[in-house]
Amino acid sequence: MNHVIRALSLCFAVVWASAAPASIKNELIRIGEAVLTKIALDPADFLFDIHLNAEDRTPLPIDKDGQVGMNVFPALIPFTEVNLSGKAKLHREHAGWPQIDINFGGWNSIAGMVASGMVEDFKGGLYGYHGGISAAVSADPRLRLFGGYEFSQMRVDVTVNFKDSSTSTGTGFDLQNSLSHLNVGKTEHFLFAGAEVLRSARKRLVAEVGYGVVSNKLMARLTWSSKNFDSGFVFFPESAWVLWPVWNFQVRF
Amino acid sequence: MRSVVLTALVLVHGMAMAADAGKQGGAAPATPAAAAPAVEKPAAAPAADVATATAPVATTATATATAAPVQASAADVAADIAADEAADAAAEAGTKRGLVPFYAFHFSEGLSLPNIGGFFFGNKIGSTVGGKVVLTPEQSLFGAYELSYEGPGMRAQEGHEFRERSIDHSISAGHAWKVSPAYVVSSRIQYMNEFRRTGANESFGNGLYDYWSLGLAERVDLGIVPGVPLGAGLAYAYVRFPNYTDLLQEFMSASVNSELSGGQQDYHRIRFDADGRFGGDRGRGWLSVSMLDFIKARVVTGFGTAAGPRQVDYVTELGGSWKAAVAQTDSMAMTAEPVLRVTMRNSNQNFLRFRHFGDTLPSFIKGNYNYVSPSLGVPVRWEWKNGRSLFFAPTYALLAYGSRPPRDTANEYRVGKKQLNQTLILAMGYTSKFYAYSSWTFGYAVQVQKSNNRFEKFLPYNYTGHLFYTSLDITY
Repeated sequence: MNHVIRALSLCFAVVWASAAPASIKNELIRIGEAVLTKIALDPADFLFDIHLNAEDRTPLPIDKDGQVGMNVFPALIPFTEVNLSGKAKLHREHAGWPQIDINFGGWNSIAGMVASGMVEDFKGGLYGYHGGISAAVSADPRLRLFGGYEFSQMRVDVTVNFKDSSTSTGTGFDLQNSLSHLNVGKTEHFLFAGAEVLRSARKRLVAEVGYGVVSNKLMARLTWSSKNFDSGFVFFPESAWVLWPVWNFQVRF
Repeated sequence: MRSVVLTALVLVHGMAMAADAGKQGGAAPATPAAAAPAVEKPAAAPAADVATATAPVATTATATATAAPVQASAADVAADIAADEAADAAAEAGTKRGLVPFYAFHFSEGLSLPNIGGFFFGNKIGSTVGGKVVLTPEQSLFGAYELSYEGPGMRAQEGHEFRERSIDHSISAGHAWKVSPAYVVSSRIQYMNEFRRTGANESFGNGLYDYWSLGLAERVDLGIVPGVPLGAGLAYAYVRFPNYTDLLQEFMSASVNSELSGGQQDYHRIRFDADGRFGGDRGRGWLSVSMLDFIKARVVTGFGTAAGPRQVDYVTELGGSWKAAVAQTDSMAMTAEPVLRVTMRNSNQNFLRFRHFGDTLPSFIKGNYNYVSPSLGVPVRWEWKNGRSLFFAPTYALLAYGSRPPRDTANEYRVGKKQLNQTLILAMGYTSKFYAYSSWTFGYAVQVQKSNNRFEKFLPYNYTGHLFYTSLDITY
């Protein structure tokens, strides 16, 4: 069948070459500009997507009780988000009752800390955390279905020292010289459902769709899971950057 | 059953994504149920009938009759799964009791290259979870929830922009009762909510054409004729567009009762459908008639007032298919399943077209929304026993309006002519089952869209587009 795939690939390439507009370079530039504009208009959403990439909602393997891991790409590299996440099994599937897992994690941005340290009288932090619960049932020896809920939070905290600043703007109700903290963030409540297909004793393909009820945020995740490394893709169809490759390292026990 | 569901999902979502497969003119339906869903999506895209050249979003009251045919959707598949599973539960009476889950995941990503505008990426995401509970050999309950997203893409026929996208939530629950071996009655209640973005200036949840619907459906499956299973259903739904407003009407009567401009899209829908299989399950035929009884929209008269009777639309679809085994070897089977379908819309609504605000001589088009739309699809599939398959699916569709004249490039009506749209889609691809319950498809489709309507400032009518896509399906 490989020759069929090769033939199809060749056909695609020929049709692509004939169909692609001559100004393909300009089109790529246009798309790039659109992406950058979208990021500039809503940087919080872009950062939130990176934050969500680090969250792993896949159920624990049936013979494991816990997991500690981290997202290597893209959270840690290149976005310097030092992160740690974990899972714990609350209930093993048996007697018609599903497997129940909890998952949790957090991260802190090194870039955010360094950048804030470079500005006098200014301290800032960019961090996030999440927690959720999921249920998984075996529909078949090679297939499990799962679903659950997750709370996800990204925070930006800014501390400003105005002691050397002008003490008055000349207005009658001047509160500017009292401003010292600014805490903002992005909160989302996700409902998710997915399927886990066993590829071998230790390898799984996990497909999942999550929906954030606060901002109608939709995401889909495909994960090729193995013993210590998970790789996959996360899709944010309405975001500036739609497709993120992800790579996780974890230890399950 | 699962293979039917998988086929339906692959066909509806994947085989002709460019063709907006579940919609009119798209790929052939895999099942009569997919072609004639018991609970249908409302047609809600009057953007094609933008009244003024200056305000794409400012539709007039006359635009409430929609140009787009009533469409089957991914959400309908969820309902069909539920109904079919329930029927299966009844048919398999006594074989197993308790909860049996089912799940469907779909993801596709495509690159569209139309010859107008730039290329763009689009994707579809669908997730259906549900289950059935077999209570007794004769009684079963079922429920399903579906979440689906449809991103930018080339659309079959008119009325949509490339960049349009939507999120659908659909919940259905029901009961199936096997009264006798040849008589199964199923009941279903369904709620659906769609968020739609027609432009970059809308966010999900605030779209002009967002809607929700709540409905009931009854269906009877009969096995009284050996080898010819028959079915018929009756469904009611209340469809509400909470954000819809007639901006022109609000503008014209802003100081009076502008709130009366809302609700112009809301309607009651009553649908009857019947289907049957014959020829050893190779042949299928179906008929559906939907009545859309608009709650507030009134027919526009030639005097320029919405003072006529309430708007009532009828949408009728008649179709049939035949699955033929063209060739077969020890390892491969080649099948073709021609599908012929005719969709008709009859509306008492007219159209009063203002070319600009303050136009004192608007054009009056009686029966502007009536059309006939025949389509023919001949999907051919080569399936190997190892789970791999190739497909080639040509589809040709017409959309002929009964009285609507086309417009020229200057947005003037071409008097004496009637608008005619043509769609040709050639879809082809390769599907492979790579793990249990999962398949991956790589496809290509070319779509040729022709119309004698030359005014394309806001919506494309004439273009050729190429689509390369890949899709993943997991179905249990």
